[in-house]
Amino acid sequence: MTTIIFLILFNLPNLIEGAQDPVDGWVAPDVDLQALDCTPMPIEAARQALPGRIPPPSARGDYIDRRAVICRERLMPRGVRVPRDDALLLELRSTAKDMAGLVAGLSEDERGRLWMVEAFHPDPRMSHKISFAVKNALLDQGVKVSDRTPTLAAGDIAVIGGVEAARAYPLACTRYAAAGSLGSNHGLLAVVLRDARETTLHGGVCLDGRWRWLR
Amino acid sequence: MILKPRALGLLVVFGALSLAHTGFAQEMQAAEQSQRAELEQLRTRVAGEVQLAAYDLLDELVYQWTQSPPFSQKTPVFVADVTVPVGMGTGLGGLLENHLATLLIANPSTQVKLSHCPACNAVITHSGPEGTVISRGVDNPEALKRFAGEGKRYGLYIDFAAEGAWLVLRARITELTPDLPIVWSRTLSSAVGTPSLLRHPKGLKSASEAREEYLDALNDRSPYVVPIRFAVRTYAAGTDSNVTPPPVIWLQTGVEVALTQARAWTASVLVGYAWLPQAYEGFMVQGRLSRLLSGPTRSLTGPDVYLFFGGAVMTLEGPAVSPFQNFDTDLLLQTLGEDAPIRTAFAAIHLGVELRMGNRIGTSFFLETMPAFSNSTNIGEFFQNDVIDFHSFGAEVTFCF
Repeated sequence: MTTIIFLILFNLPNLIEGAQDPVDGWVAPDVDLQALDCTPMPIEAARQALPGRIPPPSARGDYIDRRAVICRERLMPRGVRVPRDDALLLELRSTAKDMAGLVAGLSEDERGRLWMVEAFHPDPRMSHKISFAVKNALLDQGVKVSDRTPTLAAGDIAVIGGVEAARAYPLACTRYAAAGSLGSNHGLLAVVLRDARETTLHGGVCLDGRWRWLR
Repeated sequence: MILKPRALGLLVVFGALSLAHTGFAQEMQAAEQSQRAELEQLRTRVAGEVQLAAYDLLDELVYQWTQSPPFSQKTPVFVADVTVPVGMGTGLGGLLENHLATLLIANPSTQVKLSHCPACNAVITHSGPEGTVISRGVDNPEALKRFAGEGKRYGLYIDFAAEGAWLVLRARITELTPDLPIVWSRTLSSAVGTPSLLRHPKGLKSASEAREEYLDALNDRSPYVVPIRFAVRTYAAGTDSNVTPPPVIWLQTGVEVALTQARAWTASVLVGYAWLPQAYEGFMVQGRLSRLLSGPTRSLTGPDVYLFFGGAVMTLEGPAVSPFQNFDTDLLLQTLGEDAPIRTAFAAIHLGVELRMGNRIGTSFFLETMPAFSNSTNIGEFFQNDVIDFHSFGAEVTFCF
């Protein structure tokens, strides 16, 4: 019994602090907290990010591992946009960086080509934002990027539109190369929302008429 | 036709359900309308907040161009597209485009020369061996050549995205050649709650430069100021004398010290000299304490009002100062003779207000009491009352250095 009491006493500060954690606290977050964009980070990083806002460490040390959660009010309140798009935009910077990283990690020959970016999302405004972000991220990685998008003939579009999604992308890639729209010195990075219900973007590349998924 | 009781009951139930359904549908419609109105209100509020942050990001973009131009020489660039965060109307896009144009016109050192290219933004139809293509001019440079002629063209694309707590500006410049290569790009972001710098389109500054200037402005305000003051003191005529005390004009200088950084309290010590040929010559020492009334801190842009309280010791000599004696002037002149020097010294306490502009120039008015002349018949009182005798009324103009 004494052991149990000691265990409870030792863990009490952790339990109390954990309850207030806005990210994964065991007490359900306040409704107001849902309007916040919270990022957990190590306490030292938080001290550098927000100087003066995080109290300095105790001179006698600390008995528990602390971390900081920096919360900022969301620019666009919940309900104004489609929740899926909201989630995609929330992660857009890191997604674009990841996609660019994948292209930057290709072989020297592939990486050195002139790259085109095309985003496939049901909402054209979202497609525009995704491709813009990915193009800028690619340029930040030192990759040559073009604003051109490969084109297909009307007949190709009709055929590709009729096949299932898994086959449509490789087929389109083949047709891009065959029609001369995507040359041997070009690469295409397609950023795709494969299912309208998901909140993850996938990336595939089309090089020399061959399609492969990178993410 | 005779209806059975069961059928009649069913009819009543269906009728009631139908009525209930109509009421429910109306309620749903009203709820939807109210939700839509609430959403519009929310969008308007967010647009107002986003506009300032977006202006700030555009200012930063153009500021960066002034520091590191994207082109080595003046290059015509047309604004191909300005898009706003998903969930916002195109009106905001128009405002942002106007602001961008204002910035580019006001900052020619960016080397970005804003140009107009109607054919670039227009939808054009181009038929060639590969087929007929309908597109915007910018997306089909080969077709654009036919419409807008030869020559290098660049299109500027700007996109704003609201990503969680961040407003992100992405910009790119594309060369309108068949491959449409992107020649320049930049991503800037601003977190919610970051105060907007509200920079002036002309003379854009970085945040660190603005802070430097602010600190310079604070440091430049030395706590010491040297005032040069012209003061006129007029005195109320006494009741029993035919001689009116003459006004005395003083030239004063000394030092004024700000007791707080905000200049809410200041103190000054001045010495003064007065001289009027054939009338008087005088010296004085004056101390004063002032309190800012117009706000908690001195304004950097507007005038300030101070209330002051102080004291002075004056000595005057000359034929015109005879009224500043506490005895009969005629008797005095008879006793000492016409050529005898008349000298007087007295203390005074004053209270007044000062309007100070930019801590450079000030004008003030005050009332002064001279306890030595409380029972004088030569010097009277302004604003007679039972509490305090104001023997003198003065006005000053101060130049601070």
